[in-house]
Amino acid sequence: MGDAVSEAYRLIVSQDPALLHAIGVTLGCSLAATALAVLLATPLGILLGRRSFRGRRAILVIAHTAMALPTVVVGLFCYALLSRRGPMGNLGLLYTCEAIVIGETLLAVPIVVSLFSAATRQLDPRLEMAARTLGASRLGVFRVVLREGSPALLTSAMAAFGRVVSELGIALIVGGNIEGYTQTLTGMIAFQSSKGEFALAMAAGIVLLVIALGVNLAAHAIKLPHGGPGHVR
Amino acid sequence: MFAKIRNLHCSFGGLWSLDIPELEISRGLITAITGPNGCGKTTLLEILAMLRKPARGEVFLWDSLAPSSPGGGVCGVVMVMHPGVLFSGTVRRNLRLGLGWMGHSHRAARAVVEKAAEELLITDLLDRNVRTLSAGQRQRVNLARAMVLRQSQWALLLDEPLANVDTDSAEIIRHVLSELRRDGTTILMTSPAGVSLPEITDRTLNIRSEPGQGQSRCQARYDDS
Repeated sequence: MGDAVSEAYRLIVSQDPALLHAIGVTLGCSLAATALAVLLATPLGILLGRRSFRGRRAILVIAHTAMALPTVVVGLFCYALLSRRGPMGNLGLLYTCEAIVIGETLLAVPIVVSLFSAATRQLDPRLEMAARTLGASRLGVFRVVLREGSPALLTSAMAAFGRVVSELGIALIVGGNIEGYTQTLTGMIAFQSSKGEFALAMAAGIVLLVIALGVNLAAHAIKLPHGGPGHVR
Repeated sequence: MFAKIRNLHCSFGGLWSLDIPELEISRGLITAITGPNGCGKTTLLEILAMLRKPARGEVFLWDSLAPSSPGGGVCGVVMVMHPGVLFSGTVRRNLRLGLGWMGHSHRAARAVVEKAAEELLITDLLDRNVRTLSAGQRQRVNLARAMVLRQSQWALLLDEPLANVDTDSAEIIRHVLSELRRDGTTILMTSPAGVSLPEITDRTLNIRSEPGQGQSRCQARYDDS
């Protein structure tokens, strides 16, 4: 165990090429998926959080259920879509980083929708009225709610990033876990530990933790000047 | 005439309704709307600010039919809510937002913001975060934020402007409202039953609750009529 830890440390310090590549794939796919999920989920989150309409509850139940989706199920669903005989098979995306991004986006959207809609529901119900009476257009009102809910959006994005950066099922099924191409850090841990190469697996695990810590610290640094959720009175 | 209402009916779940067969509100005056809690004072202001659509009836503003699109800023009607809703950030940001939405340039907005801040004695608060303000200061910022949008034909709708406000702030607000009236601004403000501001009020509109068949109906009448 001690040997594996010191070897893992050596691999990190010596910037092992396979490890570096896995870090790049993990960061690239997770950040892209989180950004895409935030873009897709923000309007829906605001709609569900700020409006009451028929079907709202049903959408929320679906979103909450989807938060608990096993990553292998999402991976399987994406595989069915992207495999050569699937509806999106002609795009040739299977076993590419793009496929991982698509799958991880599907995993992250329900998280952002659920958390962000719950947070915007807590904002002052007269926020839109206050903006409208000052002459805000629909876009202006949307931007006001977005700004007031931005700390919560950041928290939702962090939760989504935490989920996608640590997932394995999608990376294995649609990414293929190809070393030096689509292998993520979690894929590397699974692959190397099955081979008995604990040092590289442990190095990947340490890096994964450092990434999670770094992203959280960065998010807190951005969030602090606003001083918490945008509740108004 | 600032506003004319005909056959207005607004109801909430069949339990409560506001009925105004006919009402005229003169321009250039301060009209106080009084009545017991829950009688529809705020609802009437929201309808006049085009923030709420009545179930039926016609609302004319400035002698023409009020547009169906929401929002009052563009029609020269601005409402200040109670309690006031401030957006996160500094006082200056709050004061600038409406001007930006109304298409004012950054430079023009700066002068307007500073003038309104001076009038309400909040110049030293302009760069403060709204979280750090007292209730009286918040109310002055709310009023200043509406005042930056003033134009030649303009109405200010205030929901309980002096509620939970310290004496100094109340005095400043009272003074500013009198000044605005002198400049021709139409002001409508609600106040709870028994609490009015006779020294600055021209007319008092009383909304009475009339228990009806399974629902409370509220009707509006001027005290002097």
